[in-house]
Amino acid sequence: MNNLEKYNKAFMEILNVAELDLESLEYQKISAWDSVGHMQLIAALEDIFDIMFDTDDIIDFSSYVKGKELIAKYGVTI
Amino acid sequence: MAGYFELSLLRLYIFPSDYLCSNSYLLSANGHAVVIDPCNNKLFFQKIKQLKIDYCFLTHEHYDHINGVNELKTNFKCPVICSKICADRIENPRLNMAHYYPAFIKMQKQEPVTDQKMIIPDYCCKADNVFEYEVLINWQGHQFFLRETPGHSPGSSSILLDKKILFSGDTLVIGQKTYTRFPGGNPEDFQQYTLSFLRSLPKETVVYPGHYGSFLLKDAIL
Repeated sequence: MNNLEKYNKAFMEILNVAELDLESLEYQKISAWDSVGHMQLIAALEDIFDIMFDTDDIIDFSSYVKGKELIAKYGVTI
Repeated sequence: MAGYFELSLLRLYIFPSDYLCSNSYLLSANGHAVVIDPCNNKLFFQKIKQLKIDYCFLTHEHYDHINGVNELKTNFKCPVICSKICADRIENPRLNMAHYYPAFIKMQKQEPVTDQKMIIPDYCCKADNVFEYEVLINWQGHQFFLRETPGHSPGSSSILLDKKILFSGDTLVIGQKTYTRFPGGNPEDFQQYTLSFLRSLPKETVVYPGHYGSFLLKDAIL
């Protein structure tokens, strides 16, 4: 599984969304992606990619697309 | 605001924390005391100065319930007791959620955390004694029954005092179903292991939860 597939799988499993909906997905646009869902997602991505997000990046992680950009800061190319 | 109740020869004090209103409990009898979920709260630490702290019990590993453990251990030398799983997780800032709390609180309250000293993102602490499944502890003529109640978190326990009072941590909070969505939370564990225990308790059991006020078990959403 490549990094994009791992990234997508985390979103789909934790937020229960379809792959087709990922590109437009934003924080608080669906009920599952509230502040608690956000912590689940961040923790899962940290496990998957063996990284630790800074607090500012956890807060800035506002969408599926933005997340890709932030993860790149930690040396992970999606 | 701190609360105070007298239960026969036992006194129960409640100290809600500034952030997320996590409750620290202090039970005192005959100059001795037991602490449950110590938070960094000045009033709490002022109050316990006058007492001999015999035990500190933890209901679960989350940062908002353990952030006073290190200060308590440094100044009062009391043993910290929790489940084995909880003990493993309080040693890791990711597993005890300290790493996520600054962001979580900001996102919950939609405002910046103004007093950064209140939150330590790399906070961790250690337990002194652990149990698996359940344990009975006698103290000053009273009996504590600590029982693992996973679901909200893997290391969650509930603490039953004299078969009448339940310190539930976040396993039970009034007016809402138990939150099992935090990292490590598991609704199946809650269903399989915890619900049967809670349903086995008398309906008149008084529940002192990890957040907000007390209630009767019969009023909980199970």
